[in-house]
Amino acid sequence: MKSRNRDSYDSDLTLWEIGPYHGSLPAPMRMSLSLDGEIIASCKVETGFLHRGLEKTCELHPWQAVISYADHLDPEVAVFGELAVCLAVEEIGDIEIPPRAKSIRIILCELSRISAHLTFIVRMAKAVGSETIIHYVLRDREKILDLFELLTGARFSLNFLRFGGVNADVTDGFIERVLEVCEMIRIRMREYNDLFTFNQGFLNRTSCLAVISPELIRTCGITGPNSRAAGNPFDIRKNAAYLGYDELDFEVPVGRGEGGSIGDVHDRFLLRLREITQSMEILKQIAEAVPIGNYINPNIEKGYVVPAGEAYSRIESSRGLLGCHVVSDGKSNPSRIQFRPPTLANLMAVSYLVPGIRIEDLPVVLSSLDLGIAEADR
Amino acid sequence: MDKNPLIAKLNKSVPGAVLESRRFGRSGVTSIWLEAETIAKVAKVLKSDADLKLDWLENLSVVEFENVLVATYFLASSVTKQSLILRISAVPDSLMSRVYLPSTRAIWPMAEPMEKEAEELFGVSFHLGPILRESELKSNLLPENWVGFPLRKGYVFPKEVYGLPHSRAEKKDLQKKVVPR
Amino acid sequence: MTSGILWVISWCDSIGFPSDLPQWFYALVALICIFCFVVVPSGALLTYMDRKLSADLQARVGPNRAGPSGIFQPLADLLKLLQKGSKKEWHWGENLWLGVHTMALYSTLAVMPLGSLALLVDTEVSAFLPYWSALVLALGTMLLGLSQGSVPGWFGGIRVAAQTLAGSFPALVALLCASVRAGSFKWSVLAASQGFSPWTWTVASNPFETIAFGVFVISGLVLLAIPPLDGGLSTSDIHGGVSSHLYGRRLSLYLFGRFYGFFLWSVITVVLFLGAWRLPLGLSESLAESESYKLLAIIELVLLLFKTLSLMLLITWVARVNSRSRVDQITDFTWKVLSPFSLVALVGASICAGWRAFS
Repeated sequence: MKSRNRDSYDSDLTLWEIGPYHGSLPAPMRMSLSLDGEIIASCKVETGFLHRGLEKTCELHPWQAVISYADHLDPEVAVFGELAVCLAVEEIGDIEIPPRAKSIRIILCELSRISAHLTFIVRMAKAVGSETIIHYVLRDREKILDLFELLTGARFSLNFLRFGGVNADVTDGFIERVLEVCEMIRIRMREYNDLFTFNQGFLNRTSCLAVISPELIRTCGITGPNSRAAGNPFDIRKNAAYLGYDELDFEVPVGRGEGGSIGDVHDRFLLRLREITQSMEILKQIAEAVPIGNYINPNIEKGYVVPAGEAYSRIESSRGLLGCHVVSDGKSNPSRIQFRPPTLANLMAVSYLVPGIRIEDLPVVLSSLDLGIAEADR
Repeated sequence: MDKNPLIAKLNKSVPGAVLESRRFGRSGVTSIWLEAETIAKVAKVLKSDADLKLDWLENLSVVEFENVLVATYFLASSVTKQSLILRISAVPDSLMSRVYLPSTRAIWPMAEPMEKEAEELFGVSFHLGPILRESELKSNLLPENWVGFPLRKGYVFPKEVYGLPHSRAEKKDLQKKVVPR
Repeated sequence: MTSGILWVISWCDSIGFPSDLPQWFYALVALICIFCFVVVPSGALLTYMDRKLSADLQARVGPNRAGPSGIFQPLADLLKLLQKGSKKEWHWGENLWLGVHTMALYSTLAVMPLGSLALLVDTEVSAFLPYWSALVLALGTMLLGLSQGSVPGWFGGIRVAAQTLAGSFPALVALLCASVRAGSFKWSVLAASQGFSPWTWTVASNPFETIAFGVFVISGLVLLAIPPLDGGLSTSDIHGGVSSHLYGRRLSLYLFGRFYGFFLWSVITVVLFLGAWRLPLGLSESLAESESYKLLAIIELVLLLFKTLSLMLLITWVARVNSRSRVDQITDFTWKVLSPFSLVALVGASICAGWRAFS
């Protein structure tokens, strides 16, 4: 309707360009859809609208400042960017992390994961036009943000991890409050299920929609909840454990195809609910026994300069495998910090998943992939 | 992983490909420096090899070491759980000139977004084979008609972008001009 | 016509108007009264209750600034929207929409059944008129979408048209079901066939009428694209669709049209199936005998509005907690489920009516 090219004259397809800002897009990106009636025949995805030159900025600043920039890799779940950088730097400098610091880091990671997955529920609810659940979930996520505030002083850009540990020790009563919030969310999850998860209207909208096949996982290299929902039990926390995740007892849920086929939108939704449960499981185990000791390696001084060398760290962020390749040449600034965001693969999958669906389902499919454009564009 | 049989295998199937093999940082992963032009062939061997099955290009990172652009391929296998790091390098003629490396998109499709990013930010163009279609994923990290490759070490920031002063020092000067005291 | 405007005549006399005014004058006064004192306040009341109810459901406070507990919020909103004129030139398509919309809005006021004394038009086809008006309202919404000249508008317009077409068939059949029982399409006869007690309502008279009631309500929601079945208007891929470019006065007109369609349909549902305005214990007869028409009209109106607003609130409640269905799901459901059920209900209701007539 807006523009027609020769293809569309020949094939009766309509071209519709949406973006960078549009109600059905979760983040700034552009899609050129060719439509056959209301059904999407093919789509092209264009990203880069949120490029902030993050990797270059990291190179221009001293090592300590890199952490606060890594926050902005994905502003929604700041701690994962920080953790990826810290783990890589700790590998280069052979810095030992005190057990207490590890526990605090895991608490932060899992709280972030819960918060990110709750935000995911909100986005899904918005995409299918279900208002009430949004308010419930946001109200509960506030509690997690309150915990962040209690621990770090910030709600989003935490800037809390340091090379060899964390910035501050936990305050009195923090651990108890973490457990309280876990308990609250456990109860609330039942409410979400009653109200939303097994609502017939929601099932109708999501089941058998945009199925991710094992082949697509291999083609695009999809990781994280999206690939686990399609039955691939790959989780870095299990496969190549960091921070002592291997000492914890938790399961990696995989999609079971309750909605009709394994790897559809409903599976992706359910999987994230299950991951919230597992994260709470981890939090409970950690909270039972937070080791006593230093919260940061005392040998690391304020102006610590990372020795020459390189490392590649892999962590499981809320969206999938987040890699970080850090190169140091022994100077006060990093030589190169490169992130491997999980969203790149998910974005690549969009052009495979979207053809064949109706445009009304486009927001549902896009939000089910949990695209973090900030980390894809950097 | 015992690396000698692997290197022997690579030398046998792609003669002259392996330049050097060493450990990557402190990790236990082997990194193999390759002759740049052979990367596509090596990739094919590594993916089809029954013991390795390196079918997943987890990350493609480009780094500049003293005017040499090094592309690092972090490989993993979804079947055998092996991992391996490949490295190839190229030297650009000048700050503004691109370098060309073979693309591995045909073997590892997930290389596409990362190759495109390196192309834009580093000026490392990965040339495709004749069969590949132009992809449906497009990334426009830099503004249109941007000059230079920002992630190179010698990159000089422009003084102004679209009529706006760029660096902080410039901005301060501007403020002084605008707000008289 | 004469009985319908008795109350207007008596009221006009009591205010002090000359008594030899022509009939059309009284009809006009009646229309203005209905519009200003029934439809608009119901709209305000429903908006307020809807907001408070959904705020309560969603752990929010809801309107709390304008007046005690925010009771004047609808008024404040209306005043705000009215003072925002449009800067843009009118497009001919929008003019067309405005014409159709206004027509649909005001033409049915006269046939709206609001009590035994407030029936301005009570003919043999009365029950069909609001039905057609709902169709026209939907057509107007479609025109509005198409006149936008944007992709969301086009899709919105076409989706609304598809929904309306799908919904109109079962709605019509369900309307016939109620009329088969009463034996007429006259409002007065339809109301008189029911009583005050729920057991005497059409909906409870036999299982087929219960089915017809369900079909009528749901297909009305589909026909007029009212939440929760408003997929044609409000899915996020089209930014709210047809109304996305409206603001200020035009938006208030559009929103009022949406409310009016919903209100009209609920009033008809109450009159057809939920006992209309029937009062208990022969109250209407005794009041009519003592010639206190004013009181009778007011009591009947209040009862009718109570039932109507309750039904509307119930529907709003369902809409608030459920997710929005896709348009093709709605139309599929309407054609494949509602339509067969409506036909079954019609056959059953006819047999019941015939059996009653012969036994």
